[in-house]
Amino acid sequence: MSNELIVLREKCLVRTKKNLKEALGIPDRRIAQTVSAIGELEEALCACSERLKDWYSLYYPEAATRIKKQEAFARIVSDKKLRSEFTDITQDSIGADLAPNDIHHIRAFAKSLALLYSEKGQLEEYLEKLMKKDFKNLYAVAGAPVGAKLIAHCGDAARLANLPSSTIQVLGAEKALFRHMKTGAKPPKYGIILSHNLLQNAKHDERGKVARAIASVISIAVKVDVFSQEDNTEFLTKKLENKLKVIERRRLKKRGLEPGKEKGRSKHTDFKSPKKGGKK
Amino acid sequence: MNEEILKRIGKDFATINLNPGRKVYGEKLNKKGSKECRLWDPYRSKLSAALRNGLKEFPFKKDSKVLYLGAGNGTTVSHISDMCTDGMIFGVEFSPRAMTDFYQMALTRKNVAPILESANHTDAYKDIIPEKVDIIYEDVAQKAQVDILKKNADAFLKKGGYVFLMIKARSIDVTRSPQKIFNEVANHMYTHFKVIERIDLEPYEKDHMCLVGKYEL
Ligand SMILES: C[S@@+](CC[C@H](N)C(=O)[O-])C[C@H]1O[C@@H](n2cnc3c(N)ncnc32)[C@H](O)[C@@H]1O
Repeated sequence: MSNELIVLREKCLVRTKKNLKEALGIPDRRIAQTVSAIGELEEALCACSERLKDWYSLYYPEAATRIKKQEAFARIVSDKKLRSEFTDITQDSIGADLAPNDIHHIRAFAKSLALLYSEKGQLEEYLEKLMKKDFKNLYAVAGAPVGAKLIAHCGDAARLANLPSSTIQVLGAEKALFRHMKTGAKPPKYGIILSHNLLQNAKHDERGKVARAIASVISIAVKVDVFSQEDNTEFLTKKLENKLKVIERRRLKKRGLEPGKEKGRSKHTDFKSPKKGGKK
Repeated sequence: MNEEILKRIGKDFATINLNPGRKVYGEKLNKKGSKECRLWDPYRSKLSAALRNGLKEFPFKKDSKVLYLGAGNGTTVSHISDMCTDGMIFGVEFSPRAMTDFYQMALTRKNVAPILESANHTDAYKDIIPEKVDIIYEDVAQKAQVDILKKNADAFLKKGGYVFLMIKARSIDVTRSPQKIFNEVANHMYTHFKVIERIDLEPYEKDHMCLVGKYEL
């Protein structure tokens, strides 16, 4: 092997090591890993909680039926040893009278779940912090989970910032998009952004429009975060609010109603910055 | 086919392990004479798939200098590294995740040089690769792949050098027939390369084609 090649390889190794260290250190990657870990915990916890419910129902089905929230159920089962510790549920159970050792294993399983639920909660808080620190504009208009999923989907925020808003709108719905291109089926109206609070609260037939509005503001927000790092959160939140107001006004007009005359409150207009966790 | 660097074991192709006893991606190791061979999995490496499907043009030599675009975690690069023991494989890969694997493999192979850049940005690596290479291999699964190939050939490929292009129809257009896409890509190549071989990669890869071209301007 020629000396020239050996020297070039050495240069490649040195430069790549430096670039790699840098690339692995950008916050985008921690955000992507964290939001993916949360998603995987959610899936695992959902499956395991179903299992816990079925399992515990051998012993005390009345408790399993009464306590609907999965997280609460895992904590209660891991805390209580005997039926008699449940004060407001019938003691005259149709469940089998299992041996202490049988119950011990169910409780140990419940304990592990409770721990994972706590870990998930901590990761959600951590994600909030990561997003607020480096992507405050995206955070303000998308919320932590949606903003982070968008970043994760693209690999890093710079790539997200280079996408047109129409693409951002359907990120995560690639399957439906390909089906649309291939077979002429209906194009998807939203992907990851479907779990955005505002879209969750939107009227069904308005969702396409609301999705477009959200995506367009997200697209600006992430550009600001990536290219100037200014704090435009107020301006951007206002902008999103205004877009939604316009959509709402048009909708009412179409139905021959004056704004504000409709029964009940319009959900579009009470926009607050997305809450922790967001809705799934 | 150069028997000295590329072996056959039954219907499998194999290369002589540069690091005896050591696997790269879970491939099988096999003694052949006094040498240890690494079986070349056609389901994991498109170049092996092309060989299985009858690839004739195989310009890899002991001292070849290869520019490999889209090295991934280095599966295919490792076999080329087994063959080109006195040459060098410069592997360009822009995904940091893939590079973490590829870099660690490169440390164990004296003829592999990793480069964390986009193959679009030839300027970013022109000072760390040779003036001219013998072969450019590209597997980036990107729409602009032919443009990327031309750009790199113009910058770094010697006259009469070879290019290997692995095309995934889906990454170019999901709506049109793969055959049409392959024809179009081949046509697009003619401004720079004489396409000398076309190998369909079924059944190892779906809707993939290996194009071999010669750089003759
Ligand atoms: C199909 S994989 C390559 C697998 C590899 N050639 C093998 O056979 O072992 C494609 C790789 O190309 C990389 N890639 C895509 N576009 C690229 C670009 N413009 N520059 C560098 N790498 C790119 C991707 O990150 C991915 O790792």
